[in-house]
Parts: sequence; C-alpha cells; structure tokens
Amino acid sequence: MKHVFTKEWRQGHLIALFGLLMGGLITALWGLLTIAWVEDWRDQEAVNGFCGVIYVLLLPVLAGYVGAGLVASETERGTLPLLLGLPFSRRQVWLGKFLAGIALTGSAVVLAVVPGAIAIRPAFEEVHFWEILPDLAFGSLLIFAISFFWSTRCATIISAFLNTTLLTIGIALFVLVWMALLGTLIGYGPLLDGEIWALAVCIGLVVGSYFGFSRGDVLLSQRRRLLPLAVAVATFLMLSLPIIALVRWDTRYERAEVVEIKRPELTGGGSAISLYTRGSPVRFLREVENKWFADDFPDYRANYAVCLDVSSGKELLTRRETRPPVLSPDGKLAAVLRGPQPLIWAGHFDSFPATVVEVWDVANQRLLYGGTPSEGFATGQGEIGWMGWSPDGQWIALAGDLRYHRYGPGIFDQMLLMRPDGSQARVIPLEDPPHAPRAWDWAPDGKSIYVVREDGVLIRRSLLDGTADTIWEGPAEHIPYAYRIEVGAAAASPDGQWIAVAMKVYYVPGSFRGRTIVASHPSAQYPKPLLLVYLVSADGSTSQLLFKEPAERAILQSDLLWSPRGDALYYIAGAHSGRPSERESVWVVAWTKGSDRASLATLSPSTPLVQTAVLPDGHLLLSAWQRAYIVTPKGRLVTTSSKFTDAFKNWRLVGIDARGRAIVTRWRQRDNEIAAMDLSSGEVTAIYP
Amino acid sequence: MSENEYAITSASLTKRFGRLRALDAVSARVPRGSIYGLMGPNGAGKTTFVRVLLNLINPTSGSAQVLGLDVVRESVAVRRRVGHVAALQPLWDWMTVRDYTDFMAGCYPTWRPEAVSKVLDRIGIDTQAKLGELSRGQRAIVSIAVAIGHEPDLLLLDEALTGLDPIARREILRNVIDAMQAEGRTVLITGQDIADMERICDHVGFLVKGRLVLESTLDDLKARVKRIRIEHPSEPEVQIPGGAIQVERSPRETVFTVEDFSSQLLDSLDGPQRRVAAEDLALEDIFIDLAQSHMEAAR
Repeated sequence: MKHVFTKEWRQGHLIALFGLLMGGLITALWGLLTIAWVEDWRDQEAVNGFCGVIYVLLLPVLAGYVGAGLVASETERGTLPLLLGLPFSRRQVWLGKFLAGIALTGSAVVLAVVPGAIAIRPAFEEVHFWEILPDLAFGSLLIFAISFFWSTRCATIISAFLNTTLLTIGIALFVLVWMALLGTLIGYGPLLDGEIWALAVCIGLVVGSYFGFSRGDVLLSQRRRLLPLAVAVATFLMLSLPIIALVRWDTRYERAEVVEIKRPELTGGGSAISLYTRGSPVRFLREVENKWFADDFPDYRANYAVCLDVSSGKELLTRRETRPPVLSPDGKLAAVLRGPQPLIWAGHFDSFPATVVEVWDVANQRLLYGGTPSEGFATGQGEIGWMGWSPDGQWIALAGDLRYHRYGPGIFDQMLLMRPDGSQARVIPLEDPPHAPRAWDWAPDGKSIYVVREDGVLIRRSLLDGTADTIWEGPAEHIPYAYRIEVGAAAASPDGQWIAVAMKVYYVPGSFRGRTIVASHPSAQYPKPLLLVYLVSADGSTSQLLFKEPAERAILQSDLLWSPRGDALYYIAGAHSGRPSERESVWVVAWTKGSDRASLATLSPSTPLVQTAVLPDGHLLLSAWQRAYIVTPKGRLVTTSSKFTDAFKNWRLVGIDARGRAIVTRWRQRDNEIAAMDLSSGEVTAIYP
Repeated sequence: MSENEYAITSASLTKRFGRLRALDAVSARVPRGSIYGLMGPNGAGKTTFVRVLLNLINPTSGSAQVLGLDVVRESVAVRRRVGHVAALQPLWDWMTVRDYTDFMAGCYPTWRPEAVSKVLDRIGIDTQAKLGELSRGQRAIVSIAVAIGHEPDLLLLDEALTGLDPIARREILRNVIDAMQAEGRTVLITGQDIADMERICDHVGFLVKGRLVLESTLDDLKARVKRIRIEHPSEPEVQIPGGAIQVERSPRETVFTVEDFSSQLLDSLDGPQRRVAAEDLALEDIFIDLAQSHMEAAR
C-alpha cells in the first residue's frame, strides 16, 4: 500500500501544484479585476463573489478530476496489468490509490485555497466560504467517491472523458452549478449538506469501488455494458435529486449558530420569540479618497433568523438570510421575509432584490407557501419591510418600497397583502405612504389597516375594496407651523375603539417671500420640537391629545403599547440632555380608559435605552441598564428598587410571554442568552441556546 | 512426476468473456525447471491463461496452482515469486529507468539490483532516461530486466520478445532464459516466434480456441508428430490407419502429418508400388498443422 501510495503521489503531485497555480491565477484575477474594473463597493462585492464562486467550484472539480484519473489513467495508459501484477493484494492497491487520491485532492485544495485565504479574504467571505467549507469538503468527497467509483468500474468511459479534459471540466462545472442551484433552492447549503443519505451514498460508492476493484475483473471493467448502467445512474441522479429537493423544500434546514442575539421580539401572542443570531459579518472594501478600507458590515445575510418556542426553547423555525419570522396570533404559522435570492452558490452579483415570503406551519415544519407573491413588490434589503399578521390571522401584510435602498430606509409607498397560503396576493399602492415601517396597524377586525401619512393624517384603508378614508386630519393646531412631522408609531386598541398615534413635530423659523415669519402660535410658544401622542376614535369623531412635551433631543423609543384589555396605553420616550454628566430622563406616558389626559412619569435611569412590556394586570414593566421599574396605568411609579432591580442587573427585557413571565436576554459582551424570569420570585430559567 | 514437481498446474481452467470461452477446460502442467513454450494462433487464450495465473483476471471455473500456490486465494504470494512481462507492456512513462527499478525494488523483499543492472548494462540502457523516451524494444528489455530482479521461481514471458531486434533477442535468450534454466527455475514463454521457441523450449503446449490440444516435451513431440510421404503412381486415394492431422494429396503423392508416429505405422503403409518415407517436422510446421487441424475441427 505504501509503495502504491508513493507511486500515485509522485505521479499526481502536479495536480497539487495545479491547485497552487489555480489559486494564484484566481488571486491574480481578483487583483486585476479590482484594479481595472472596480469603481465602488458594489463592483468589489461582485468581484469578490465571482472569485469566491470560482473557488467554490474549483474544489469539487479538483476532487472529481483526481478521483476519476486514479484508475482510468492506468487503463488509458495500459499500465493497469503492470500495477496489478505487483505482489500486493487488490485491497492494498485500492487503498493506496484511494488514500493517495485523498491526499492529492487535499493538497491541491489547500494549495489552491491558501493564496486566496491570504490575499483575497473578502472573496471568501462574500461566498461564506469558511461557513460552507464542511459542506464543500463533504460535497467534494462525494464527487471524489463518485468519480473514483466510476474510474474503477468503468475505466474506459472515464478515460474517454479524461482524454477530453475540457469536456470533463465542462461536465463537472455543469453538475456543480446544477447542484449549487439545487442547494440554493433547498436552502443555502449545497445539496449534500450533512444529510445521512448523501453520506450513505458516499460510503456506498467507496465500498462499491473497493469491492469492484478487489474482487472484480478490473482489467475487464471497461465492458461496454456498463455504459447503459452509467447512463441510467446519471439519469436517475438528475431526475431524483430535484425530487428530493422538492421533498426537502418543506423541511427545516439548519440550526442557528448563536454568536450574538439581536432584536428579540415576542410574537404569536407571547408564545414565541423571533430574533436574529448574528454570524460573521461580511467584510467589504470601501473607497475613501482613492484609498481602500476594509470594513465589516453586519450584513443580515450572515445572520440566522430564529423563531423560538418560549416554553421549551426549541427552535420552531430557523432560516438564514431572512428577517425574523413573525408568528400568527394563534402561534401556529410563521411568516418570514427573505430579501434577495441568495445565489451565493451560483454567484450573487448584485441584483434587484425580489421579495420572497415564506409561510411555515411551525408545528409540523412544513412550508405552506414560499415564493414571490408579486413581482412588482420589493422591500429593499435594509431594516424595512415590517410584516404583520392581521388580528384574525387571515392576512399577512407588509409595507414595501419600490425603490432600491440597500441599506437605508425607503419610502413605504406600497402595501402587500396576501393570504397565508399565498393566494389573493395584491399590492396596494399607497398615495398616502407611512413614513416609518411601523406607522401603520391593523384594525382589530382584520378588514382594514390604519396608516399615518407623512403629514400626520390618519387614514383607514379598506382591504376589501382598497378605498381610503381619512379619519383624522392630524394635529391641526400644529400643522400650519410644522416644518416636518416625523410619525413614530400607530396602534389600534385591542377593542377597536381607539387608534393611538405618536409623532414628533419640528418647527423652524423661516422666511416667506423675503419676509421673516415669526409665528405667534405655536412656534413662539414652542421653539423646540414637540413630542405628541394623540388618541383618535376609530370613527374619527374625536381626537384627544394625550401628551405634549418639548423634545429637542427626544429619542422616539417605543411602540405604543396597549394593555391586553385595551384599558391602558403606554408610550415611552427618552431624552438626552447632551451633557454626559447629566442623567438621562425617560418619560412614561400612561393613559387609562376614561381619562382625558395621560399621566407622565419621569424616570432617571443611567441610559435612555429602555425595554418595556405590559404585564397581564395592565401595569408596565420597564427595564433600563441594571434597573427595573413598574408603572401603573395611572402613571405612578410603584417600584424603583426591588427584587426586579437585582434580577435585571444582567438582563434586558424582551417582553411578557403568554404565561406572564418576563422574557429577558443576558448581556455578556454580547446578548447571547435568552431566559424567562418569574416575576413573582425573580427566578431566571435559561431558554436559549 | 508428483504435483510438487510442476511449477504450474491447472485443472479444467475456464475463463469466459460473455459468450466467448477464452479458456476452455485447460488442464496444463508445466514442470519445474522447464522452459515451456505456450503456442497458439491469435486469440487462442495464451494471454488470458497468463493473466489468470497472476490473478489479474479471475477464472470462471476450474483451478490453477503456481509453485504450489492457489492462484486465486494466494495470488499475492504467487506474484511475489513470479516475474511477468507482457507483450508491449506500457510502463509509467514519467518514471526514469532508475525510478522504475527503485520502485520495483521496494515492492519485492528479495530484490537483487545487480541482476537488473547486468541486463541493462549489457544492452546499454541509460538508467537516467525516462521510460517514455525509450524505444519499444528498450522498454521491453527494461521490463524483462525488472521481471527477474526479485529472482522469481517462475518467469512468464507473454510475447515479451516482440519488438526486440535480433541482437537484443539473443542477449535476452542467452543471459536471462538460459540463466534461469541453469538455476533450475521455470520459464513459460508465449509467442509467435516458433523458431526461437524451438531453440530454447524443452516443453511445449498448444492452445487453440481456448483448448489445450497438446502438451508435451519438445523431443517427444518431434518424435510423435511426423510427416509421412507416400508416392503411389497408380492408387487413387491412400488412407492411413488411425487418421492424420493433415493430409495433402496430389495425383502421385499423398503427404500425411500424423500425431502418433511409430515405425509400425510406417511399416504398415509400405506396399507394392509405393514408396513410403517419414520426415521430421520443424516445430513451426507442427504448430501450423496442428492449429489448422483443430481450427477446422472446431468449425
């Protein structure tokens, strides 16, 4: 075996050098393209992706080439009888060749990858090379096994392929691209992603190769009758793999790798948490004044979006390159929004992001719907495109943006509506676009939505006929003097009687036709921006100003939070004085049903970054840095120092789950743990990961 | 002879390739220390027989032993003690002659480099040359030199002398085969050059269409197979008792090639107005007559 290995190694070592050559060529190609073609970071990403994909394809090609040549080359040259005539058993010869093939492939791969890993790291990161390396290695091993199997069993056919090397490479590339597309179709990884059946095929081929070589008439293995068998197997694979892919389409793909938990959110009536877990950031090159800088961008494509069952911590749904899933009100279905089709395996060259919506039956891990509901609808790739279920769970809606905003927020000038099974999808253009992704809400009956327009006007849009009714003209007393209105949030009360709207109004003294305007009201009275919270009745007949405070440095903090019974409303805003020495102040706006004005509680935590949740009893639980507070609907601060304060020292509040527990995240350099806290005992139970 | 006295024995050895019987119940015996010439027309099964002995291909049925070892179950041990050269055997062209001999030396524990260099030096082969750069004949010489490097007890030369010039051929015959015989080792040689075989072989076997039709010592064969020429001016058709393997008739003369010649047979053919004479046959003539006879019979 040793001698056969040595002979094979000496015979094939140029393959390893070929790997080095290819690595150098790809690196040089990357450099050439970067110098000659790249003008901005998008071009650079395209070059990175292109070179990365070549690397991804190179590895299996090398494996296939080495594997196919091990026996076929002996047959082709006629040296197989010489080899078999040596005083070694077939097992030794086979093993020597097999191990030499592995060693040669490994060396070629290492020598090909090393220059790239050193010189063009961004290309590797663009295609998530290191993440997919185990898959890639496994896929390459499988291709090696296939080619080695056919090399031992059908050497003449294989050697004919080898004789026409270009044809071999062409076929290999075709198969790989085909597999890559298939892998993309079934969920990001290559087709063979750790699946037991693929492993079984791999082992079966190796064993078949061994028995074929050691016990069969190898010299006669080029019998032509194997050709139909080869064609049959190839046809079977070609036909069966898409079928397998279709079967796999509705199965869960992966478990998240938790590096950092980001933006956890309770959905599904408090039964589940949706969150991001951050993977490795994507590095790209940025040009500043003719110099290139590498920069890490926390591209969501590197993230996992996870939906957790809060009672068990089990991952109900895990998807990569998506936004966090949103559970239906009954907690049975999850809708997840995907941005651009992640064609990392076939080369993702910047393309207009088609919006893909998936709806999953989380209990059975079945995909109910997956696709692009409307070709004309796009959500961009940033933090936009917030999606929500109608309160009755019959509709899914999301706000969209026709323009392509890769990183920044867009203008939400359209709304997509669809049934959970993907039917009845339609895009409603919004002549009255909301300014922010959450500046709209469902009416409790699920038949219409409320949208707060950019100028503060509240509109109810029927989903049945698309008609729009203005139900509130906005803050009329402020609008004539407003320079700009920034709508923060809109929320309909659970009983359907009220719509709460929060906004910030900016006033700027200006001039008109050469005359300086000094408004007597309200700009003179309120020279600084105002933070306003209104309560509007569902029929628009009455509106009520709940809260009005100067808010020059106000940071809009929270959604408008209704208590479960709709008898209390909270809104939290933080303000920063701008002086580091001063403590922050946080306003808690609390309103109870029947009141004509909200109460205001002011807290002074060490940070305005607070998390809030409404407790089942209607009180507000609020946590800030190492502090916890409870505020009554009357705006009374009942707890500032308690067991909660101690318990919350290392925890940040996410929300209150269906069992009344506080769901929290623990911060240890990063938020990387989720737990449930019993509010009566302060006991913390780890949930995830 | 006992079983141990045979370097090769086979019993009903059969190898089929689909419908074709490449070997058809071959039962051969090659005595130890002999130089055995296995002859046969193209496609007779000579190479198949050699490959089965080395277990390069598996027999369909029957059994064979080489040096007392079963060729299937103890194939590694067989190959360790057997040298083998195939006709126009392709070599690993990327190796130099030195690489090749070194590689082979590592494969056999009983390697004797001087035996190899002796042959290579006599022919004048540059050991630094790559095998791919050598002529066909030079490569054949390298193959033969390497095949005796481990001092095999049995050397299988499967048409290995093809492509050699007369000088090289003589060198190989003299320095390799004669030396093997002198040391009591066995050589099985197949090929079409009957003149060479007649010169060096002491045993011969005839394969025709996969069947071993004759196996004998060369001397015995030549004593048994003779040509009987009968001149008969008046007889229309002369017959011979026991039949002949080949008959050539002309109006005044009939020539029989008989497989079992004896003086009694000659006497029985004698008669009035006949002139009967027995002629010795060259091995090539015997081969041709036997082959034709059996091929016609097979049709």
